[in-house]
Amino acid sequence: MQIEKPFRKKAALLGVSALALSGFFATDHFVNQSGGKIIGSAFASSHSGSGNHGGSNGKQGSGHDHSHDDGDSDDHDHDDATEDDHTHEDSEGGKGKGPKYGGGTDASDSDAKGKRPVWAKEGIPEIELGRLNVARAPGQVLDRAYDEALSNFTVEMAAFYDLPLNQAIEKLRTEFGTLTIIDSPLQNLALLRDALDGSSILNTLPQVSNSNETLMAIFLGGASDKTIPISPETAYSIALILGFELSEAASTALATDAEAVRAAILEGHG
Amino acid sequence: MKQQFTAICTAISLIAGICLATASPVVAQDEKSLFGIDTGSVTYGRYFKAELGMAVPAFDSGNWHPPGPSDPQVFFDLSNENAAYGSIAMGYDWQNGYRGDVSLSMFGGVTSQGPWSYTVPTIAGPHASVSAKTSTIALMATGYYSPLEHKGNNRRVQPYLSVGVGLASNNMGDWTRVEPIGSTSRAFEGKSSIDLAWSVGFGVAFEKKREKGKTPLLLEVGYRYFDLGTAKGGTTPISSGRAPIEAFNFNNRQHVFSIGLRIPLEKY
Repeated sequence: MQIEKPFRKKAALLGVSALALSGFFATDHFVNQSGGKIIGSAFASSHSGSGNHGGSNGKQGSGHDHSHDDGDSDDHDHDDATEDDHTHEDSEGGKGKGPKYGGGTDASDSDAKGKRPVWAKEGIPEIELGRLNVARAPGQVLDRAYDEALSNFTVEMAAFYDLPLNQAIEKLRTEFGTLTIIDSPLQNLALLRDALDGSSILNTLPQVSNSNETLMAIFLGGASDKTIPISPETAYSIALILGFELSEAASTALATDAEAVRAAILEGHG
Repeated sequence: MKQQFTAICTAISLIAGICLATASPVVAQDEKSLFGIDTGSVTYGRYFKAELGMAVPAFDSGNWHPPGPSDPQVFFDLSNENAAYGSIAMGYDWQNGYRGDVSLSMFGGVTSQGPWSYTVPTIAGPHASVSAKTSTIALMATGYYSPLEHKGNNRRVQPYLSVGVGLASNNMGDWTRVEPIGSTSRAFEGKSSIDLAWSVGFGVAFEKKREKGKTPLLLEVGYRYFDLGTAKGGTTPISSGRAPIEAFNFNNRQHVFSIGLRIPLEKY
C-alpha cells in the first residue's frame, strides 16, 4: 500500500530518466559532491540533472522550470516580493498551491511572491551541507524514503512529534538515547519536502497536532549533521533542492528552529 | 530424473520457507505503522550480492568425431548429476524498477556420461560411450526489471525478471571414451575454452524489515536458465592412440535455482 500524494505517479515517471543519469554519474550518491558543499553553478548543474526533485514531490505544477538555477533570473520581481512582507496569507499567491510557510514559494512558480533572500540572486551560496546533500536524491528515492518513514511511524514516535518545539528540544537534549524518532536524513528530508507545501502528513494523524513550522524544524534539524550548524542559507538551499523557494524570513525562521533542534541532538547524543 | 525433481522441490520449499520466515516478522502492536503501510526501504545505489544454489545441467548435442576417416560423428545420450552453484556480484540499483550487476558465477563440476545415441552419417553401432567432468566459471552482466517497483509499488516483496550476457570459461577435465565391447577405454586431455554466454530468469526479492539504523537486506529466490556456450575437451590422447577429428563436446546449458542475499552498500 502506498501513500498517494498528489502527482506522485507523474513524478515517478519524471524520475526515471533523471535517475538513470544521476545513478550512473553520481557515484558518491549526493554526499560529498563538491566536497560536501553546493556552490553556485555546481548546484545548478546537479539540480537540473535531477530535475524531478521538486516534481516528484508532486506539490508543484512543474518540477522542471526552476528559473532559479542561474541565479540571475528576472522571474522573481523583488518589488512585488517586498509587498508581501512574508505574511502567511500573501505568500499563498492566490493560486491554491503556493507556499504556506512564511513566504516560501513553490520553486516552479514563476509568479511566486515573497521576498527572496539577497543571496539567492547570486545563486546558491557556498555552504556546508554535509549529509543534507542527500536531498539531491532522485524523486523516487525520496518517495521511497517518505513511504518508509510512514511505514515505521509508530505511536511512540507520534508522541514526540506532537510536542511543541521547546519541549521537543528539551527531550532531544535530555532523553535522546531513549527517544524513538526518525533519524534517517533521507526520511527526514522526505518529510520536510512533504511539509514544505504547508501541511505535514503527520498532522493527519489523530495522535499528532503540531504546527507545521515545528515539524519542519525537527525534520531539518534531524536530517542535518550534528556538528554542522544550520544557517538560513542552509534552509533556503535545502528547500530549493526539494523544489520550494523560501523567503529570507522563512529561511531564517526555519533555520533558527532547526538549528536549535540540531544543537539539542548534538548535546543529547553527546 | 525423479530424484532431481524431488531435490529441486525440496530446495525450493526450503528456500521459500526461509524467505517467508525472514520477510514476515512478527510485529508488536505498538510497533505497527500508524499509517497502516508496510513498504520497503531505500536501496538506491551500489549493492553486493552473493548467491548459492543448485545447477541442473541440461547438456545437449554431446558428440565427438573419432579419428578414423570413415568414422561417423557420434552423438551421446548424456546423463548428468546436479552440481553446486555460487555467484558473487556487484551492482547498482536505480530503484525505479531497474538494477544491474556484474557477477562471477561458478558452476560446480558435473560428470556427464552416456552411451551413443546416433551417428552422422548413420552407421550401425555399437559405438563407444563417453565420460567427462566439466566445470564452468562465467562473468556476466545482468539486468533486472521489477515491474511492480517500476510502477511505483514500494512493497517489500518484488518479483523480477533478468537477462544477462557475458563470457563463460568451460573447463573440461580429461575425458574418456569406452569401447562397447571389451570396455577398453582411452583417455584424452581436458581443455578450457571461453565462449559467449547468456541467461534469462525470474525470481522474487524479499526485503527484510529494516531495523533502525541498519542496512537493508534483501533475500532473492530465483531461477535462471544459462547457455554457457560449448564445452570441449582436448584432442591429445593421454597414453596412446590417435587424436580424434573432433574432441568430445556439448552445449553447456544449465538450469539454476538459487537463493541470494543482496546487501545495499549505501545507507540512507
